[in-house]
This record gives sequence, structure tokens and C-alpha cells, in this order.
Amino acid sequence: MSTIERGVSPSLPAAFEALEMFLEEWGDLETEDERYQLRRRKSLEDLKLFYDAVTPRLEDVFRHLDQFEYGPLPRAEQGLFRLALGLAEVAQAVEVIGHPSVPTTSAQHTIQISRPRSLK
Amino acid sequence: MNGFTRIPESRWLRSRDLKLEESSVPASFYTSQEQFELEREQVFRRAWLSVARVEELPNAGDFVNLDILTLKAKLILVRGDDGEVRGFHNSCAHRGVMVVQKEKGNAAQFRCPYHAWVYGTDGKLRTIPGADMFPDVKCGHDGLPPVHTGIWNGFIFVNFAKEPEESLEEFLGEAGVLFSDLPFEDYNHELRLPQPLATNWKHISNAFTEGYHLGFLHKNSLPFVFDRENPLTDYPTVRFMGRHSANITGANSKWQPTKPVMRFALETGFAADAELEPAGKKLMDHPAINPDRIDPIMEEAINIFPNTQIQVLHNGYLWYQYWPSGPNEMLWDVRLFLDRAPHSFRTEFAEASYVAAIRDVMAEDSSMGELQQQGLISGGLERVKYGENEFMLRHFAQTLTNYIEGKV
Repeated sequence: MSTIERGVSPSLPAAFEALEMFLEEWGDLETEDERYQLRRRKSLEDLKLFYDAVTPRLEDVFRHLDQFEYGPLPRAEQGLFRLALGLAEVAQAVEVIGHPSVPTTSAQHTIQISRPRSLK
Repeated sequence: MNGFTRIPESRWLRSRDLKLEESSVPASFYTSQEQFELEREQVFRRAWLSVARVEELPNAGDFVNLDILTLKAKLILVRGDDGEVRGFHNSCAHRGVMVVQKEKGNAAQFRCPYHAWVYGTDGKLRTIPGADMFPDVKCGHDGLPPVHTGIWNGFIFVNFAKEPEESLEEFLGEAGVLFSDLPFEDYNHELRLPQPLATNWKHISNAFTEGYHLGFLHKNSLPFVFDRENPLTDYPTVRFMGRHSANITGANSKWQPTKPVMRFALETGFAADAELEPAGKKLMDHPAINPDRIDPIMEEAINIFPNTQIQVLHNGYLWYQYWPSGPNEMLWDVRLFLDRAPHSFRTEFAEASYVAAIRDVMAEDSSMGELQQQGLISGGLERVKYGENEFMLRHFAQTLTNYIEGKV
């Protein structure tokens, strides 16, 4: 039984409904550091749930996004893309480090990344 | 021990081959305030230091406002109407106020907010309200205190000595000649990752001049480097050029990406981009880089004494500057230059994966630097050991000490 009203709560394009449970946490994050900090706050088990759900859909996600010109996306597609960008962080934890983040870093570890001469 | 050091086929280079016999330094080399002050006054205030790229100042009047942490210097770099890049202390000739507050921009002139003294982009005073109050100050002559500035292959260097002991060309020597036309200017998509760290700057410098830790600390984060046949990840090529040097990190020819997201990112991003026309001349293909054409390699790092490392990568370059502000604090200023900005959602995803990956590698290194410093401050370890395979650390410690003592 769902009380979620479409158009008000976050939603994903058709065929990606199964990933909607991750939108609330990952859908609004705009920067690498925000995604990195969320990744660090979560347990590896939680990150694995996300990884196992999104990874098999990665090619589908980009085949869907390929239909859009590179630039601002409609809200649903933007949410989908942000899940993929979240996976870029989560995969580091699950595939590479084996911990939410490098275990020897301090709790405050952060790197503010800027793009001073980006062509974007 | 200058020049090109070819590794004999049967074994790797060792400290003894280079007659670098000093196998340890006192812990105080990394922890003492006295050592830091020597470095600040006898190295950072004497040597040429890389601080900016010419692409940051393309037009007359373009300026950048830099904080040179080690010297607490507030530096303005500005391109004048004559096309010259000049450096100045950001300090009004009147009573010292920082004249320029903006981080960067374009200006026809600089006006002090306090008493409206006005300077040209050549740093010279143009007007003083009530100039007859200052009969000894001459417009067109006096101005912002100058800092010596030089350009090498697009890198803007500064020298804070009153009179530099050497020109920039002399300071760079053979390394400056060898790498003078590497096409850095073709890489203009910049990502900046500045990292303030609670460690001694030399630990971070050291980490990028020994391969020994790569197969251990970065076993998982740099899986394409570790090679069973090179278990201590010795550098296949090392070059010494006076106080400067270069080191190649090899790669494992048998490595294939097996993890799904990493593989997807590589295939959808870099492999796809490799099919496109290159955005410029390739740094990695330049004859001065990897002269033995060792294949595959991860990178060749160029170490410019005292605090610069430029790593030539397949897709761009990394430019590290190490700025100590005390024995236990530093800024690791990391600038990554890639040949193109993301141009699709796929390449943006690939860049996000790449940035996450290098951030984690750097987090491993920086955390070791911080733990190392805490361990040394603890006070039990009297000497820090440099192995037969850590000859670049021996070379750097010796070069630094000699430079402090005025011997190089």
C-alpha cells in the first residue's frame, strides 16, 4: 500500500521503479564530496545493497540517458543519473577498498573538489 | 650520479649503485621546528617555486591572488599590458593593506580600499590622493613590492629571494631543458583537490618517490600496478638531473578489469574517448617521457626540487605542490589536468569513478603521512630508515640538506 503521491515525491523513469528506494538518500546529492560523505556514513552492508541493486542496471541506465542531450535533465532522469554517480562512489567501497572508505583516514576526511577550468 | 640510470636487466637499481650510503635520517628531520625554519628560510625563500599555469592568465589584466602558506606570503600574479606576467606582494606601498581581495579576475588597475592608492597591472603606483603628503613616494616608480617571476613551459615560478642566486633556467638545469616542450598546454580540463594535512610535507613527497609501498598500501586501489615479477614495485626507470629527478611507475601487462563498475567506467569513458581525435599532442608520447618505451607504464613523475611533482599520465597530468606551514602541517595542493571535459553522461560517470578512485588512493597516502607523523612525534623512534630501494628518499634528503647548507 503506497501513499506516495507521484510528482511530489521523487520518482524514476519507467522500468527503474525498483531503484526508487535509494532516491531519497542519493537523489539530491550534487557534488563528489556529498556522495563521498554519505558513502562514509553508511555501513558496508548498506552500500552492498545499493551496489547489488544498481550495478546490474548500469548499462540500462546509460542507454536510457543516451536519449537525452548532455546537459540539464528532466527530474526523473536527473535522479537516475545521480544514482549512477552515487554508484561511482559506492563501487570504490565495495569493489576496491572493502570498507565504506579508506579505514586509516580520519573521521573528518574530506576533499573539496573544484573544476576551475572546466569546459562544462 | 647525474643523468640517466638504466636498470640492469638482471636486477633493480639500489642505493649502493648510486653511492647514496646514508640509510637513515634523525626523526627530527620530520618533526623539529628548527628543521622547518631552516627549510622555510633556506629552501622556500631561496628556491624557485611553481605556483600557477599561464593558462590561468590568458589576457592583459588577468590576475590570480595566491596564499603562499609556507612563507605566509600573499602573492598577486598579473599579466601586464605588455604581456609580461609579474608577481607582487599583495601589500599597499602606503601602510601595507592587502590591495586585492578577489581570488582571481581581470583588472585595468588595482585600488587600495583604505586610502585609494592606485596601481597599474605593472605594479607601479599611478595615483595617490593628496600626493604632496608623500614627497618621497614617486608614482610610476614606487609600487607593490615585487616578487621575482619566471615561466618554464607554461608553469609560472616565483622566487622570494631579494635577488635569486640562480635564474629559473639555471635552477632547473638539465631537467628544464629535457622537459622544456612537453605539451602541458593541451590539457585544460582541470580538477583541483587541495588537501590540508596534519603531517610533515616530506612524508607526502617521499610517498611519490618510492614504489615500495604500492603493492601493499595500494594493493587494491592500484590493482593494475602490482606485478608478481616485481614484488617490491621497483621503478623500471629512474633519472637524476642534479637536484631534480624523474621516476617511472610500471604497470602489470596481464591486468584486466574484472570488477563490473570499474570495467564499465573504463569502457564507457576512457576506452570510448580513446576512439576520438586526441584533444592535443600526447604528453605520454613525447620523446622525453619514458625514453626506453617501457610498456605498460602507469606514469612518469618529474620531481622539481623542492616541492613540485608533475606526473605525466596517459590521459593528462597531475601537478602536486607540497606547502609546509609548520613541521606538522602542510597543504598538499593537487591539480589534475585532463585532455577533455566530460561530453556525455557516460564520460561524466567515468570521470566521477576516476576521481573517486584517485581520491581513495590519495586518502591512503595522506593517512599514512598523518599516522607516520603521529608515530614520530611520539618520540620513541630516533631514526627514520631509507632502504636500498628507497634511494630517491636518500637523494632528496641529501639534496635538501646540501641546499640548506648552500652546497648545491
